[in-house]
Amino acid sequence: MVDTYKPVDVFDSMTESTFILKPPTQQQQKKQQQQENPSSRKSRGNIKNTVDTLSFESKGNVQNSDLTENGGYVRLFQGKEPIESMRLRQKLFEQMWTPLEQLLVDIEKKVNNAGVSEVCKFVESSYKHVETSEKGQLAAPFAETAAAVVFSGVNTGDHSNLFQTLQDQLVSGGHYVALLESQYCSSLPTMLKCLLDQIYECVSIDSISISENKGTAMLPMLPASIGAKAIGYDMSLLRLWWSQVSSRKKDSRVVVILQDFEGFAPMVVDDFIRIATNYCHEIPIVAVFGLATSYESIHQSLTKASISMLNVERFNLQRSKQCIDAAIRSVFVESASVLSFGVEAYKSLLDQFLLYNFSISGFVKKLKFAAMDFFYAHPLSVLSVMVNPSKDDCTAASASSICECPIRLSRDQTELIRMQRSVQRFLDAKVDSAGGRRYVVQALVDDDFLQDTVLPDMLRQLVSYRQSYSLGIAMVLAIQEFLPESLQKPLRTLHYYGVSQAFDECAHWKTLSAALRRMKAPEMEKLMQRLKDTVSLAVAAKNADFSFAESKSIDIPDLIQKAAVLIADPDALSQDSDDDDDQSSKGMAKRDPASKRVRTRTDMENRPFLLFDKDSSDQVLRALDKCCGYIESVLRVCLSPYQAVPLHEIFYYRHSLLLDTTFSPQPRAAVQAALGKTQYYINCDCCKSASQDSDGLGGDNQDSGEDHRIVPTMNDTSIAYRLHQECGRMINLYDWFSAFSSVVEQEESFVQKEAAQSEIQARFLRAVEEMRFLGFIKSTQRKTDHVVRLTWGM
Amino acid sequence: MTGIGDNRNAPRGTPRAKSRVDMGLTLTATKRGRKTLLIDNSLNTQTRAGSDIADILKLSAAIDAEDKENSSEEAVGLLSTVGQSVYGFQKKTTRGGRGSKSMSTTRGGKSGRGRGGARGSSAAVASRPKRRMASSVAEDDKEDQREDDEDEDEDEEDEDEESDRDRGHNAAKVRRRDSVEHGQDDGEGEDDNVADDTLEIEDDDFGHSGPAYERYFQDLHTTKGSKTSDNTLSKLPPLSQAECRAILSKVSIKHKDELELLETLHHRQFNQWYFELSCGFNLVFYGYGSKRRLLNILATSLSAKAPAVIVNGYFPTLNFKQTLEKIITEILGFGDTTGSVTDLASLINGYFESKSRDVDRMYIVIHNIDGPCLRKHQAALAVLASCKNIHMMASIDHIEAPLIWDSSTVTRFNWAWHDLTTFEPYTVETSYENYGTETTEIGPRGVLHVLASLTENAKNIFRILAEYQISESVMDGDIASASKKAGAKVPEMPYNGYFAACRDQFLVSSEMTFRSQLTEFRDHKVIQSRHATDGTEFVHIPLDAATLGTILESMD
Repeated sequence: MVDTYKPVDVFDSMTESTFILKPPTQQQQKKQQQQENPSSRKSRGNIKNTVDTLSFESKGNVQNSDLTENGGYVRLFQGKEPIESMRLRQKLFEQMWTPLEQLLVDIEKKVNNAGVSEVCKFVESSYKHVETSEKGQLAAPFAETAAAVVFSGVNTGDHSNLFQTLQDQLVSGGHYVALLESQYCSSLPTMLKCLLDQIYECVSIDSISISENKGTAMLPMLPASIGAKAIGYDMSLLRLWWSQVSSRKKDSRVVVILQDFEGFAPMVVDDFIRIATNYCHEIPIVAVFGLATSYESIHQSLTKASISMLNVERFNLQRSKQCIDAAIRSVFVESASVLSFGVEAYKSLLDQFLLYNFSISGFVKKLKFAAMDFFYAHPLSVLSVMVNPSKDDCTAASASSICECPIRLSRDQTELIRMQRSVQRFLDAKVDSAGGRRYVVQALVDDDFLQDTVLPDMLRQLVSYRQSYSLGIAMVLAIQEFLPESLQKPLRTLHYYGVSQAFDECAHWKTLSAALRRMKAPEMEKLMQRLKDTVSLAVAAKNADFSFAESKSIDIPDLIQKAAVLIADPDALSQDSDDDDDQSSKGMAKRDPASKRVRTRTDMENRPFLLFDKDSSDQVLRALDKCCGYIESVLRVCLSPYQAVPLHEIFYYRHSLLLDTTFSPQPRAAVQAALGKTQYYINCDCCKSASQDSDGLGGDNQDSGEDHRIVPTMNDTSIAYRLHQECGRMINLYDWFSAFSSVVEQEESFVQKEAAQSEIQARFLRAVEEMRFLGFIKSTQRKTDHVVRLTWGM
Repeated sequence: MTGIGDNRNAPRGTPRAKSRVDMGLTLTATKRGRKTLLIDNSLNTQTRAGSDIADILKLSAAIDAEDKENSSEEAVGLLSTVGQSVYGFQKKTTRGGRGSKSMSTTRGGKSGRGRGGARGSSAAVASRPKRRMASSVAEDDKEDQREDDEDEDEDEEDEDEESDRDRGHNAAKVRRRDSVEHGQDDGEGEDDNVADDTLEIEDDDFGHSGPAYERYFQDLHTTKGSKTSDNTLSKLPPLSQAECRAILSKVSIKHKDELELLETLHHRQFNQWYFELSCGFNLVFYGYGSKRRLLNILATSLSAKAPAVIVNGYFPTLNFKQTLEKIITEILGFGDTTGSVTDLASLINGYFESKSRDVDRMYIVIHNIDGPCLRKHQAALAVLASCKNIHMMASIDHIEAPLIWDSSTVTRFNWAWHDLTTFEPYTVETSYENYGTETTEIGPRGVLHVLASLTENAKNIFRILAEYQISESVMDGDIASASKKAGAKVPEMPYNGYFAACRDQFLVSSEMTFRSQLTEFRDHKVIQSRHATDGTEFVHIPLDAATLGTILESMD
């Protein structure tokens, strides 16, 4: 073959596929520096052919500065951001994410704990009868391996965490645990090898201490054991070992967890069960099968014979929904993180979870990425240092919970703050108050004043809003406890209502208020007690600051307190009804003692019990009504939309598009757009179609009325792609080529000289080859020189 | 697609059953003219009156009373027949004109297999009054009855053409009668066209079997407008790969300025990508254009601090195990590299998880993680990627590439996706492919090349097939050279026969060796195989007899 293929660069070769670049060691660095100094050339790496033949330095616009410097952070505002500010962002991200991640891990653990401990209990209780039956009784004529079937849900990505928790708990219970994954257990010998390796490891840990060395316990294999052949790993070895161990530990079991049961070859599991059952009189083996699908899969993969050898108990560990509720509660509602999510981003987060795979790890991933984006790319993320959710840090900073910003904001940053619409609104509202005008003017002109006075003011409002929001959600949850199950909404949905609109506009609000009005006095009393507890808890937990609510002339604890008193003693109403009914009881019926008990249609619908409930006096009814009014007005204030809060643009994350493109990308659409609508990517003038030139005709129609003309200035592959879109399933290469060349021949370079047939041919072949590489077409044998089209539609 | 086109093949079972039902009716007509008349009448009344089950019951009672001498089985059969057809008619009337048309269309697709006959007779029948028709059909149907009883199973392929035509004939008549009854004469011509179409589908056999509805999507695009011309690339001057490269290197790049801008924009993201990597995400890049150069630059600059590995996933003979071994020996510094790919991957993972290690972190750049040789190693790659001290950057180019990952793999990978559209030609990535389209065929010289490198046994295996093909084509040429169509294929040998022939000559001992031998031939495109509709495999050498003769001669 006369092929003189020349590699394009050092990483291209006809014989080698893997290249390794090593960082220069210190000695080499020195040497290189010595060598480089005279020639003043840069060289990186030490592969055989020196890398400096690489062409990347020819690109003038590439800054060769070290990427790893500052952990990848760059100074924003085109590099004009002060370095301290950048460092602060870097530090803040660490400070925020590390505890948050830990928190999320803890939440997941906590939620799973109940189920896990059930499994642990089962493990402990298994084989009890065997042990007891040894005392003088006959052994059962059959042998059964104890097996727990754990339904772990479809979110297979999270399972390693779940089973890790299970393993840890079992190990700490003194059992010997092997956690097997199907990818390491393709055959019975490898499975046994894996199993024994891990069991032995348990012992070695056991002999040192349990809590230590957990890191290595996670490894599927010790590096040393790799390469040793799986000879000698069999159950008799385990029996030998067990006979030594069991004397020391009476109650421990050997637990074998098959994390992804569906992934195992059925034969392997089958054989394993038979073997284990043979030994189960001597070694108490407990099998734990993790199932992502349904119990059917066990019946489908295992034979009847081996199923009959199992003593199966089922457990349900599908708790990702509870988990996500707990996570949303602590992260967003109770604002463990400074960064909260705006509507769009929250929706994307929730959709990913609910509609895609119920994956907690997916949720955490998006959360993390949003936090990364926030601290990496938002110049005002430094402000979050002033809002410190961790209380111990700013005890000194008094009840306001606003800390000093350690750095002075730059001009760019203050300007950016002033540009936020919510800030403008905040200042507008200030104008009318006493001395407001001076305040506003100073805020607009004086950077220091803005940072020292206005910012804390605004942030205080933000923090206060969040606290009352959290209280509001807690109250809604408390009210929901009194509702039938079908009317209850999970926290994630409540929060969605809370961020998406004013809460009293959502559908759930109607349900809630109707339910409230349907309540009888004793029930209402209980509810008020519950709400009082909730409020006092919230007040006690954080040095609560309901100034946000106060700004709307509502004092939450006081109001709730009042309502509670009212319902406890409805007769008191008559005395102080005059004082407070101007506040919130506008909707209340006229105070007419003689009026009928059922006054309105709404009453008829909502409180039919009034008709025959003789016990409750009018007084009580009015008290009930008043209570409802109180609760509603409190909720209305607490759950007002976040858009009213100053600086919400910064602290409520909005870039849902970024999250979507980063985690649910559409690579095919991207390629198709690049080929079919090239302008989106490179915005060139040459490929503009005629319809876009005639802008005057229909500006809006530009997008819809796409021009399908194929112009020679387009990329070769793009031309080929557009041509192939006109074809049916089978494409004749020669015809395709003729179409292609008829387009390409219009190129200017071809107009003068006679079209170089071979050049067009080569370019066409390249385009076809690329199309095949991308997967748009494939070759076929049905007809000579034809290809099959593989994609349809756009 | 129009509505007619849509369901022309779809409900194959139903029309079949219906035509049987109708045939059942005419059948009884031949035996007992009176009874059929009764049924016919009752059917008509039923359809007009909207009918209910009670009528059928009455009817069955009447029938029972009439021929008590007949076996009850027949009566039951008849009853069920009537019931079905009543149901069918009801359906028609409720669905209205459109619906019934589409139904008759489907039937046309089925019954039109004997096309000439069907068309002719239906045209003839159309002019006759319906009452008389029933009796005039009688003679034909007597013959039909026997056949109908015989092939109760649905296997139509085995029926000879004669009965086919009768069936079509018959069904067409019945259909005509239906449409006359309902006053719907339109659509007849269409029916026949459709029938022809169906026939064509069945004629050009793509080697797929199964009922029509299973082939619906396949046929959707094949039958309509897929008439491509017979031009071949042989009209163009041949162009070698080297020539291609030489020409292409001189071609000017389109949109040069814009692409440079695009690249600067990509370059600006390097810092961010590093940040994402250090936060524990792995990066995967998609979008049109070769991402190779940019990623190499990124890897090179990252390699200043930690070792970086560049894997060319598009490499056609990439050995992933060797890649892992190389990492282990050159970066980890271990000598022992035995074990499977999974073992090695978890060894590397374990090394970078452990606390005492010399190499702090490692970067892996994989160009085309969707490459052919890496597709089956995704689990191992995921194990590598799941380690937080191994940072992976990968590019994908195939538009369906995300399908190679299942949900647990994708969680392990922990990808953050980035659009890296560069518009750069895939020069390197596609350099291993054969330019042009001769990949599917191999010339006689190629065959000789391949044979030269094979054992004597393998050569003889080839010879058997070649000789078979030569002899077959000679026979063909003698007997039916006239009937040879344009696209007639070279004679094929059934797989079993081929194996038996080879075994008889002691060329292979077991089927396994035979199959591996065959695979080798197939890989070199010397031998091609094909599955027939019934599942049997046929093999052939894609060369004509004359060429094969010369090859055999030169082999000696």
